[in-house]
Amino acid sequence: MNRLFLSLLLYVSLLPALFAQGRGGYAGKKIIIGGGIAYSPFFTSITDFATRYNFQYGANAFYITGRYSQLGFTYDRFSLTNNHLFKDLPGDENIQNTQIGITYRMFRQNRGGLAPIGKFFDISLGYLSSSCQAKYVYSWYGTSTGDASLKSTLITGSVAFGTQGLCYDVLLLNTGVRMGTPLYLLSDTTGSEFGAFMTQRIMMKDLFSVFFGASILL
Amino acid sequence: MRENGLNVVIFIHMKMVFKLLFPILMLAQILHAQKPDMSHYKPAESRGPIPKDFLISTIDRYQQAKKGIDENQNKELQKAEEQFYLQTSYQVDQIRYSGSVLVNDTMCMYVNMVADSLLAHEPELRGKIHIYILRSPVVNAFATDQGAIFVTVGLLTRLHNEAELAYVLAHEIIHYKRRHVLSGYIEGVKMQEGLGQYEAMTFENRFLKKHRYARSQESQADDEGFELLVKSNYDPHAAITAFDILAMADFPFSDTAFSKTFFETPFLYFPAKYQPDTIKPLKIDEDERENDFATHPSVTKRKKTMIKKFRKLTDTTGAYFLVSTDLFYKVKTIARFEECLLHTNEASYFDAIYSNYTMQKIYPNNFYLEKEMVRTMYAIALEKNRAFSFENLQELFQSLMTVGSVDEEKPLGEQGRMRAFVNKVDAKGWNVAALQYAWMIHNKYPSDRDIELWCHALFKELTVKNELRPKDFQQNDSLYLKLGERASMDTSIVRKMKGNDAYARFHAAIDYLSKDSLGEYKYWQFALINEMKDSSFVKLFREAAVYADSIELTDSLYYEKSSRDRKKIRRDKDAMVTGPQGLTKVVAVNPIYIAYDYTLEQSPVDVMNSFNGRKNLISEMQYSASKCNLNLVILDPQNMDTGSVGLFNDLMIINDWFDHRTEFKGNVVLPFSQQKLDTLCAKYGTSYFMWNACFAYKSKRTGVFWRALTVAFLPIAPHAIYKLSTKREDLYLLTIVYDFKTGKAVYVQRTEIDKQKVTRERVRLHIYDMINQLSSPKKK
Repeated sequence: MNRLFLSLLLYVSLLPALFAQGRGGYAGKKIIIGGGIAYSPFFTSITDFATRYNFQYGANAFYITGRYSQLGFTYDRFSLTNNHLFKDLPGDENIQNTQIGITYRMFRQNRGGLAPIGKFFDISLGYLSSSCQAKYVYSWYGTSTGDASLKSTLITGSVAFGTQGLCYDVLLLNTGVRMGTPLYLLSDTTGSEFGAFMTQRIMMKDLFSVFFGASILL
Repeated sequence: MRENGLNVVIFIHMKMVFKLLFPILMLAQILHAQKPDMSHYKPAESRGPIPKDFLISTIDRYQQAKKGIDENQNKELQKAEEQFYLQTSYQVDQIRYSGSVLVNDTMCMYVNMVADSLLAHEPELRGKIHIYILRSPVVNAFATDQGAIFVTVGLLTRLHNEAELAYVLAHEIIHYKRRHVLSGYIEGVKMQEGLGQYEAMTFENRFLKKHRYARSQESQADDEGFELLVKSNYDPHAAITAFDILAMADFPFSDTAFSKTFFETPFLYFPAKYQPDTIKPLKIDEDERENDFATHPSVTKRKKTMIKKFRKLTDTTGAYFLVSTDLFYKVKTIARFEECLLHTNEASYFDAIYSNYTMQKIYPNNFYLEKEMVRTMYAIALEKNRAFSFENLQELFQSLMTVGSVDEEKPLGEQGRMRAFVNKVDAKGWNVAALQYAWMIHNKYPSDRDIELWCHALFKELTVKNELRPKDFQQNDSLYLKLGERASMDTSIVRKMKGNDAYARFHAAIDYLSKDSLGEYKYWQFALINEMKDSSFVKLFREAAVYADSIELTDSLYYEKSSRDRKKIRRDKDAMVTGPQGLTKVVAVNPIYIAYDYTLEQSPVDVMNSFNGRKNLISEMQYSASKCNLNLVILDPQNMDTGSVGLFNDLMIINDWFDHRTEFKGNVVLPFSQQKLDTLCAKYGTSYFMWNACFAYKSKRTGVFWRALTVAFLPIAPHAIYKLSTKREDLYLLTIVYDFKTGKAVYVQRTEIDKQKVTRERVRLHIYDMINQLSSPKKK
């Protein structure tokens, strides 16, 4: 299932690149490779967030597909700490997350945007894998502790508004805000409620984030 | 002895004959000089090498001028002077390269010869002064701090003699010599900053004082200019009459009696009520009062001062002409011919038609004037046929604001009479008259393509805009005669008739018969009786009618479509002018880049950024064109050499055309010479000409939004800090490509980029995209 999903993503994203003309983009340059960080306030609810931030970092590759659009893959990693706000999570270890996604970025023609510079709006679809080595306490013949490997996969979706600028003809810098949400829980460790917890946790994390990125235009 | 006696008698007789003949010969010579041969006149254009001061860049000119700043003066004034040099270098260059300046043509050469004569005793000063002709019908002359003096064509049309021109030049030379432009600017800075004598004054008093200062400069230029004139061998009396030119500047160059018969033919008669019987005479306002807020003293006051100075002179002798009488009248006539053209170019059609009318009275059957008249009449027809456009609403608003100043029943001067007549003629009547005149001139000069095109266009105007068809016009004179007879049966009308022929009877019918008696026939329906006998005229008329019917059909089909289909049609039309064009060669006309910075104190134009931005824009255009394999020719007047007079003249034609294009919206045949455009197309090997303009703006941010948002939501603080620490920047880019063969815009790209930094990369991206669109293959 996962492989099929990934293959589909790959084909869909390569199609425009295959049919694109030799000209266009920024003086003929169309490939963008770079990375970025994002942080999101630690929301506990819509109206209350902590002063701690969830940092996310990753790499991405884009291709300018038209006068006003670019399409690309993203690869992000981030860890989420368990804490007192989510007491029902077994154990208190960091949750490691890896997300791969596809992003379609549209530059706003009415604001003078033209790929790859200007104000943009993008939509992303991600495949998020979360894992956690949880310590737990159980009682069978007396009290004892043990380790459990918890894993879940999610489909996430997000939209972003931002601006992208270019320096020295090669260095692209972007910044903006992103709003997202988990869309579908694909898999979960049998018998655990880790998936349900992650859906909640990612929702709180993805609700609002600020991102900064730097890329090279090739 | 007898023989000797006979010789003496013959000698005496010859002497008498000579005495009698001499004044006659002299008069003939003057008359001949006053009416030079203009039968082969062609519009003025620059000639010879481009003057050196056109080849210096704005920044070099500024750097050169900056060296002369006195470093011992107040720092603030030093800065102001520096700013002055920067601004004037830029502004004067804008005039130089506007396509409105003539160099080395007959008018320019003559004016410079007069300056040579005036400054014969001051060769050093003469070397610093460069005089050029400005293609403007306005009566004016002005000097710049760099020694360039511009004399308008309008001024040359009004001169009575060479000495008057010498005095005007002397006045401007004094402005330059005394550095009035600079001191006026510095005075303005002092006033604004409240420095020196302005320190303790209220703003109003500062303003008054500043204007008093400007008037004192004008008086100084008048006085010292007079002294300069006296030193030369010109007649000093010309300094007095020169002020009459100034006082009459708003009037036409001649008050020739106007009669509507000029536009009439045997079968076209305009109702008499269209032409006002009485007019107010043109009169100089001798009671003109000095205005405290004026930059110039009143003309009356200046003239009186000059009379006083003249009376004090012990020697008032001098010549009215030193260079050449013949050349003076030739230049004056050229200027008057040019004025007809310039008025039309500036959309002052009433002035154009009256100037032309006046000149045709002196030069009947002149090809240039007749062609110009066709052009102007066509332009007026276009204006009349588009009476409800937004521009006309603006004009209507302006006329309401100036209500009372134009009296249609008793207009000012003969030009006013003509204006009232043209205004009163309805659109259909004018269109018919214009077509008839154009057809007559076309038959006279059948090889002229422009006149032929305007004839075709007038047919279309008649059929499409006025919805007239051949059947709407009388084909023979039977009804014409019948109406005349009907009028002649009324004794009260017969008494008013001027003559008793068929024409007089018809004229009386049009003027005096009631609507019922006329049978609702309009005067213009009889106009084409003669032309309708011409098979080629009828053929063109029918073709235009078929075209009009097809347009009506297309329109009705369009409005029968659903709103979604109509939207799609509109979208497809838009895509046609914004999408790929498949062009291989384009000529870019004088690209514009202006950087405005509203945080600057004196002028919002950031000259340095404008200059560098333009250089960058041109290099980006060249870079993108090379990347996209587009053959791009850039007509850049700021990058000329002495042999670039061809480019200089081409820009003049192109700019004139562009003014017409912007004046007349929609895809109409312009009242502009297509022959000139065809020559340009052949010269550059393409019919695609492109206009590029970039306007970059900088202004202060208010910051309220970001401050409020940061307080409300801390995570966006870094972004907010960046926003608050920088200026707001906006960029507006415009590219239009016209096909000179059709006159239509084939590519239009307008981009507004608000609140984003204007960088070289951003400009490159947009320029590359534009060039890419132009050169990419057209979609099927």
